[in-house]
Amino acid sequence: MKRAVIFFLVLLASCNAPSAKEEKRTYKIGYMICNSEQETLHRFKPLTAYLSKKLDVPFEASAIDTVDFTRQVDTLDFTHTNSLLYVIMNRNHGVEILAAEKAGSNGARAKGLIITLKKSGIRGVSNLKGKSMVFGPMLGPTSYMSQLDILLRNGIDPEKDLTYSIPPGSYKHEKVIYGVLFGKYDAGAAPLMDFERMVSDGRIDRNEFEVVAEGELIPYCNVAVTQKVDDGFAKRFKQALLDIKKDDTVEVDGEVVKVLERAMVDGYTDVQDKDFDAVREMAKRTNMPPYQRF
Amino acid sequence: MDWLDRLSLWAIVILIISSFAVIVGHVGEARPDRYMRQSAAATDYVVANGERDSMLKLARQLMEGVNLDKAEPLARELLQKYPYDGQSHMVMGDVLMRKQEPVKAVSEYREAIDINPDFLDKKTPLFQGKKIKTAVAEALAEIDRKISLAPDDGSLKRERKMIYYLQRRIAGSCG
Repeated sequence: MKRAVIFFLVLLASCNAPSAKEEKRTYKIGYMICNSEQETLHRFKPLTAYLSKKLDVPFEASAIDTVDFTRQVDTLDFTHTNSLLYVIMNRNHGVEILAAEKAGSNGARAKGLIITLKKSGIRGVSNLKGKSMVFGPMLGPTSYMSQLDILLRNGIDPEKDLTYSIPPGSYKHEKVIYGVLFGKYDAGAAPLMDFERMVSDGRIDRNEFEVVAEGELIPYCNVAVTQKVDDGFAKRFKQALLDIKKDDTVEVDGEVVKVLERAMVDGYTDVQDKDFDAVREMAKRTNMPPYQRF
Repeated sequence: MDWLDRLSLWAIVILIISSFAVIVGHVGEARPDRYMRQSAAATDYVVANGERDSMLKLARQLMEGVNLDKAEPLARELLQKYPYDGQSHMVMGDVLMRKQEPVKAVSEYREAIDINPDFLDKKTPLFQGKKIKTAVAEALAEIDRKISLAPDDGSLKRERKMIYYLQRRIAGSCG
């Protein structure tokens, strides 16, 4: 019995040997490009610098295009992505969730809208048949997948029943909303958060738009860890994120900035992997990765 | 128990504690050396297997580009050319996961791990344990669903045993 206990302790110790612990190296955080590379780095360089200072470990920020993320994930230590990319990387690359980002009226949750202009007379999803619709990026859970789910549930197949397109280049969410506003398209797929932000900035008038459908609430952007990072270090990283306060500052390029304000978030909160099951089910219904069938 | 017995007892206790301390200390010291030897061996292997590495890289790129029509034949070719290389089985498993065939994928992951246990050792750069754990959970759910539809199917029982085997390997691994 005693031998067994000692053997077990030795085994346990070998798993926790110093080399398996935190290494002194530069850790790489991959940030999904939301609008443009420049905007992404502008938002998240202070957060990266703050984490370096807080954890006494050098971090490097890397802005990565949505479609390139899964190609590069194995070279990263931490990821900042939307909920669909997390679900893909969790299944195909062993990435694990750490924290969810809070922003906008729904906190750590987000939803997609289908918007039209009030003057168009389109009041419901069933009126969209035969109309033109503009979507956001394909891997956007609240700018593409959520709206596709609504359409399919209402018997509308975008391939057959709509003329649809996706704007090229950066700032796709804004292009979708402006595309509807200026009458280029009958309807648009926009994330609630971007719609609210443009209303509060005074760039669009809420009263000119009709929200014809709302998707279900799903987790917003999140921070996750790749499978090769030490679990203890990942826990410390998570705690550092959860502890960031509204007034926390850091010096970047000679300027002292508020970390959360610059990142355009209200804070970070705990989240579990099962919270993403709604995204998984939506991906299955809409035949999206990682559950795509050919 | 006289003084000599007590002395022996203390000697045994001290011996056990110091042995334990020495083992733990040396486990840590031994790692960098092991890494150097591993990376040196890996470097030699890369030179000797340039073609294999190019094929692996291409197969992964095709997979991430959702081009499974080309990724799958390439993975099969890798298996044919390098059947005793764990990476060949790992890539095949990845292709099968993307084809929504978790049970077959887990079978390939099992082969990969049997050939090279480093895939379950977090202290090595090859670690894939968390990805495999997700695949195992999906495969188990799939097998249970199939068993509920055909309880007498012997092949399903064998597949479930294989999945449980992998689950035990993951549970006993460092990571």
